[in-house]
Amino acid sequence: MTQVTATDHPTGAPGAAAAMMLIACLFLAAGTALLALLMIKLAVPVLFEAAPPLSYGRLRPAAYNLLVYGAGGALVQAAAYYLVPRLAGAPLRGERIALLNGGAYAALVAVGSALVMLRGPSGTELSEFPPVIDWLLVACMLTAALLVADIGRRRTETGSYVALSYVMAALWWYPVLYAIGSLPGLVGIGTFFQAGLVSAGMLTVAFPAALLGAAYYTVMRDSGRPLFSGGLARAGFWTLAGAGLLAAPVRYMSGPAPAWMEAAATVAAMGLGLSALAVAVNLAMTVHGGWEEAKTRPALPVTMAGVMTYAAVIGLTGLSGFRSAAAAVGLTAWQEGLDLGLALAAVPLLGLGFVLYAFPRLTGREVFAPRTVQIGLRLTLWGGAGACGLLLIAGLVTGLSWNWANAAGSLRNTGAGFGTILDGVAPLYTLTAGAAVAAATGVALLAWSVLRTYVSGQAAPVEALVPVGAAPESAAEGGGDE
Amino acid sequence: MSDRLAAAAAALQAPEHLVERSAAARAAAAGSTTESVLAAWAGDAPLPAAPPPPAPAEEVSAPAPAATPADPVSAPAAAPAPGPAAAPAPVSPPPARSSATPVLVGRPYRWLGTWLAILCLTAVAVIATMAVPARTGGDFTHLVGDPVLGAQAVAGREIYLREGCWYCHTQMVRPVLADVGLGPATETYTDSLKNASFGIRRLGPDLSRVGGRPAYGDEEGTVTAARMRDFLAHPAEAAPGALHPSYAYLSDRDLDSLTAYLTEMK
Repeated sequence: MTQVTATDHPTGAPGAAAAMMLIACLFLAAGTALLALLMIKLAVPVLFEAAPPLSYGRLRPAAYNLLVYGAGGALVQAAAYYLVPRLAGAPLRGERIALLNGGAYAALVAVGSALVMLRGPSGTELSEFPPVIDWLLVACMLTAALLVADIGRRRTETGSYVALSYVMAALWWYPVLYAIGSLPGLVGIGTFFQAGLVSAGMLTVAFPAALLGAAYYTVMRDSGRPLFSGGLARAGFWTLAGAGLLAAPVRYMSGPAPAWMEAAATVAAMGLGLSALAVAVNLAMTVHGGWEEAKTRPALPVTMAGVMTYAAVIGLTGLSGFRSAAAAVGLTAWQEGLDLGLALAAVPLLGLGFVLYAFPRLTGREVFAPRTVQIGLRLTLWGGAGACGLLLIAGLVTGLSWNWANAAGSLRNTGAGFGTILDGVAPLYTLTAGAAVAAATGVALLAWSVLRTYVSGQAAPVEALVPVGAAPESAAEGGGDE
Repeated sequence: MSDRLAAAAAALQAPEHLVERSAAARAAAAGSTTESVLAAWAGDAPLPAAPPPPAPAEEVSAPAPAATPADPVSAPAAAPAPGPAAAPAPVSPPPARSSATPVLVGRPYRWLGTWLAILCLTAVAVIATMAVPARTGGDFTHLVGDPVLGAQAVAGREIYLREGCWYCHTQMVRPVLADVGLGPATETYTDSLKNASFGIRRLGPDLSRVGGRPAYGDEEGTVTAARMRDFLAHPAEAAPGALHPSYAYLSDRDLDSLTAYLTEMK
């Protein structure tokens, strides 16, 4: 049993949820900065060509690992530590374990990413860390999942809210997919399917899942309006859970996958798109009619921008699952554009929207410089959407050119054919680099605003979840989350 | 009370037990009695005023205030109001809807069932998209045959993987119009397929059988090891305009190995 009780926030170290939010902000800023540098390298390959750690083939995995595992993993833990106690009616027990685990997790991701840059990737896509780090990371992810499972064991609230499902699913998808990606012994085609599942599953399913749950919570709480449809939310979640991973083969349609697998992937990709649409419609209808008032708060516009960007990117992923579409855009920069849309815009916005909502409430401080948040939002949204859109166009142009040139019989070889067409879209890469820099700047501003929130001013008293009958002080020490 | 409860439940089209809990929570929050709240919901009396500001409603079954999973205050700097009265009131009339709706109907959350369902769906996806296709070669009709590589080329493959060449280059010719210019579609899958690195992006050209193709910019002939090495080390000079990074930072041995790998894939 829990009740609301007034208590002062401890003035020392932040709790596990707040700490993971701070860590996530640092990883978001670093990851998007590397991603912007990566796009610059795509347009200007000679840049830093004497520095092996900054070569494209090492920079790309480092950037995505920092975002997917550094920021994404930290945000999953932060969302779980923040939301599950509130929705289950039981505090997090083992706050210190959670803190230590989160710190170890962050250190492992940082070291792993540094090693990828220094020594090159050592596995398949999104499993590029050295094996010893792989299994330590899985252990940290499982520890977080077990801490949250313990909250569920002690729950007092029997009701459900869909945010819980998203967060819990992400908590398990992360270690399960990572472990699958780290399985040794697969060769050739086995490695191919392993990489396809893990990279697609991580980027399109596990990476945003917890933050979609957080968005369901943030939008409803921050707008003060009831959720438009609980049924639609549940349908969206289970569609994601059922179809998300099955949609992985749309990334290599007409490739080595058997026909039945491609057919299933096409259907699943449509389901994935519909699940994203369900989230977007549900949350848009939730704030409908109250947007003018709601948009003045820092967190809500950022979250809604993330939701809409996510829905657009996943919707396009679903469309590209059709064989006819895949024949035009398959294997081109189109897919890179979709990945960039998620990693540079949708997930950072979703994550920072949640952090901007929860972090001030955890620390008892006002959001620092709301104007900076607005600027950061615009830069991230337009920069990220622009970079994504430009790469989508580049992919479409490339794919159609391959088809047209082949139909005319003029596409013959690596040199005078494919290379020429690829070089033809180079101006789009240059524009993409500019847009990516804008997006990374926006993310940095948003993250900076969160970090400044933590160090600015005095903490005001905030309310806490404490067990009935327990003194507030002991509750705060033993798991009270604020 | 049971009559009023039934009337309120009928008016709200919600289960009686839920309406009773909601009324109790509303009454506690508004400082009135459960009876008066039920009477208001049944249409017999005006609705008791809720304390300002109204807290957002959640889609959870409305718990009694003492069991409410609480959210922090909506404005951090505001002084908190201690005690159950500060709890979010899930029974507050949703702003956008009829004021008669006290709560959104929630469902009991089955923790174990949900976890098991998620894990089962994940397992199905893993089996369908990874385990089964990786073990059943019979369905495959268009995969690369395993290139036959010498020792130096095998070492070069490690360089290819280590430097992340596969992020931009595929080794997979699909049976689609877009790939016709790359030559025959890749061959039947075999378990010994160890030396190819398929990749799923072509920000650069496909490299399957690249050793049997003309050099960059040429229309005829086959790329030589010298030209391949020159291109890898100094792409800006070897192929002006090509968007390809330089691998001049590799040691001579590594560069030779990478060159051998690429030129031996025919």
